[in-house]
Amino acid sequence: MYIYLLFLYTKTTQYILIGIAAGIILFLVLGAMVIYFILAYKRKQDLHKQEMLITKKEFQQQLLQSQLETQEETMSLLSKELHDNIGQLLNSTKLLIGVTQRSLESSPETLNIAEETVGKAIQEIRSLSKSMNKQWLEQFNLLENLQAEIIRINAAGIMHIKLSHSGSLLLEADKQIILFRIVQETLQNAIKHARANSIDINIVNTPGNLIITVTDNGVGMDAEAAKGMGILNIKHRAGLLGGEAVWNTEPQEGTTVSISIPIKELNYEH
Amino acid sequence: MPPDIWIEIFAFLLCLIQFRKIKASILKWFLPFLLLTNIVEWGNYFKWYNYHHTNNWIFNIFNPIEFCFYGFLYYQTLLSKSGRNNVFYCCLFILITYLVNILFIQGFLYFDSYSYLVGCLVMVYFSYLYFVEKIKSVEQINITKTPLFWISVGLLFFYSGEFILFSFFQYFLSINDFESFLPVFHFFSAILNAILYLCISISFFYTPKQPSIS
Repeated sequence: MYIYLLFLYTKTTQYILIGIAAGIILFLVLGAMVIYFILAYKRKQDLHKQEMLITKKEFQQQLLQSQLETQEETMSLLSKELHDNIGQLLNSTKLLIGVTQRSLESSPETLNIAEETVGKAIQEIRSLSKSMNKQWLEQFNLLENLQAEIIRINAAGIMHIKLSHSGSLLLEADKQIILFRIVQETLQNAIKHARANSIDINIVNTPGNLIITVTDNGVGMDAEAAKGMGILNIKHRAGLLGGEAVWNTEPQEGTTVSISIPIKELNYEH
Repeated sequence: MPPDIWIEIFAFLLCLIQFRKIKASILKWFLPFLLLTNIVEWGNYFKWYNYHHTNNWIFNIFNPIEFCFYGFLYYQTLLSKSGRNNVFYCCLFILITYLVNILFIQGFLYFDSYSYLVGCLVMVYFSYLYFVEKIKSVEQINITKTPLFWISVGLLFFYSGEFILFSFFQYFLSINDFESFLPVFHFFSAILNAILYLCISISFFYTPKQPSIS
């Protein structure tokens, strides 16, 4: 409706008014373009950041996987060394004690105790060697491995560890080992740092999750201990399985570690 | 009533309706600000403020308040200290410009277009500061869902357009042909006001129920 008014003005005024209108329209278009470019740039930037994060996560997982593989190799080597060298040396010692016992009319009590102690040491070395051997682990499932570990620790008579679970687990071998190492590390923390003498391990299947709870009656864990390497290892390992580990602790009231792993990634079976 | 005033009434009513949602954020100050804007615009239309046959003086008071209000929003929202300092000094500069203009150049009863042009440029600079900060920011958020994005878009469009309009304001007055300029002025003023208050209204919908609006 304003356009017809233009014809009433002088040429100069007409040009100026058209110039003003064109200028404003140009500024609005320029403003729209600037905003479009800002949004496009920001979207591209966000996409790039997201890709970087995914790459970083994948790299960390690969790094952790190779660290674990190296660790398993080292443990296998240690297991072999324990079995083949120290185990053989202890066997020879036991044999020599037996020979000495037979050559004596009545063997002294100390020698009998020494023979018994060496026998126990051989058993310990064997079971320790077994639990560190990756090939041995691959032959059994997590529950059997845990049971064997518990028997080994309980045999010393200082600790009482109880395992309860519902159903059976069918996990991929490498994931079984990771879970086993997590529980092993947790038990080691409870025994070494929390000075516990009773530990309950509970394995429960919930929809979508496998939850392993390790509860001890130790002295609890302080903030400093929470930053320890063992705890970080457990967190990293749980993270590798797409899960998490949570600590619940009070001074002098023990510690409960809950490890939750999504079972859709683990081929879980009741 | 001209469409500008209807748009301003709409923005004020929307702010009132959304007040429960925005009351925890800095946008709550839009309620008194939009009320003041409406009072000034209505008064201008109904000639409530006529003094010496003019009501221009009310804009010489309201416009610096308006510029400082937007400055306050940016001051509270920008994260960089240098950005906030720039906003503070720019607001101070606008106030000094108005004071000098009122006292020594265009006077109190005359519309202080020179100071207004300075204010327009400063408002465009504020939206530039916000966009630059968002581009540099490492946080991954959809900026179109942040209230200050829409306020900045509105201010960028409104004050860019106003800068051109008011650049010629003085010219048409000086050649005693302001009547020729009025239709173009009213037409684009309505469009620019519609853009600004629509953007401000959108910002109310994207206000999170927390103090920060960045």
